[in-house]
Amino acid sequence: MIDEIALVEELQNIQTKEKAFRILIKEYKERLYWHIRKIVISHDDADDVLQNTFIKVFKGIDNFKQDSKLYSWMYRIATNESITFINKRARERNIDITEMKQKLVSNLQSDKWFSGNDIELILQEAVTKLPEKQQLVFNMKYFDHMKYQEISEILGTTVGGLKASYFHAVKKIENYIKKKTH
Amino acid sequence: MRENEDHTQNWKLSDDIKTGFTVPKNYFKGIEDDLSLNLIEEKLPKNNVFEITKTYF
Repeated sequence: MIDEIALVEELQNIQTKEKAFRILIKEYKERLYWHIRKIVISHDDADDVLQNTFIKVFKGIDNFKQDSKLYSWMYRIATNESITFINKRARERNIDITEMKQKLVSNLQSDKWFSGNDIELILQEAVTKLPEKQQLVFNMKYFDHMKYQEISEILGTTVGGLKASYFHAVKKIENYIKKKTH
Repeated sequence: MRENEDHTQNWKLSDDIKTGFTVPKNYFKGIEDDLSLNLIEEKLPKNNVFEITKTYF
């Protein structure tokens, strides 16, 4: 477990910034990658978004005020970068964001970096059909086992609101899988 | 048939269902180096410093 406060001080000091940044990447790269991957679906896109996220973190760290936790701040950047990426892709193809997400999931069957079974594929389909907030909450709670309080700090939504979103998301997903498997 | 219907009714999402996503071998090992390279590139001047005479082309 790293000392976040000390790390931020080192990141904000020009003498120690680059060394501290490597520690930061080492500590958070996998968590942020998987968070991004669940939104953008493809590995290559997740890799690009992860790079952009860390570059934004590097450039923005001097303005980070420590009024939220470092990881919450980085998760927020990663979330925004991922959503911006999907929106941009949808605009380029002149389709709406829901259609774009469905397109990404429909490519999964032939994706060499997807080894899921039928149920896992259907689960990804179901998740992409959720409204954005429900999708984010579901991913963070179900796959990443994050606490509601942590998700609340990242998404800026009350714990009560998140619980309701998660409940609705799970119900919709269960219904979708039921329909698809029977 | 009846049994199937009951099973459908009781379908529940379990923790056993994962994302199914994978990554290339050693992918996470090279990220620090890739990023350091990207950051160096970011610092380099973006302007084209070469000049040609007005009527060259």
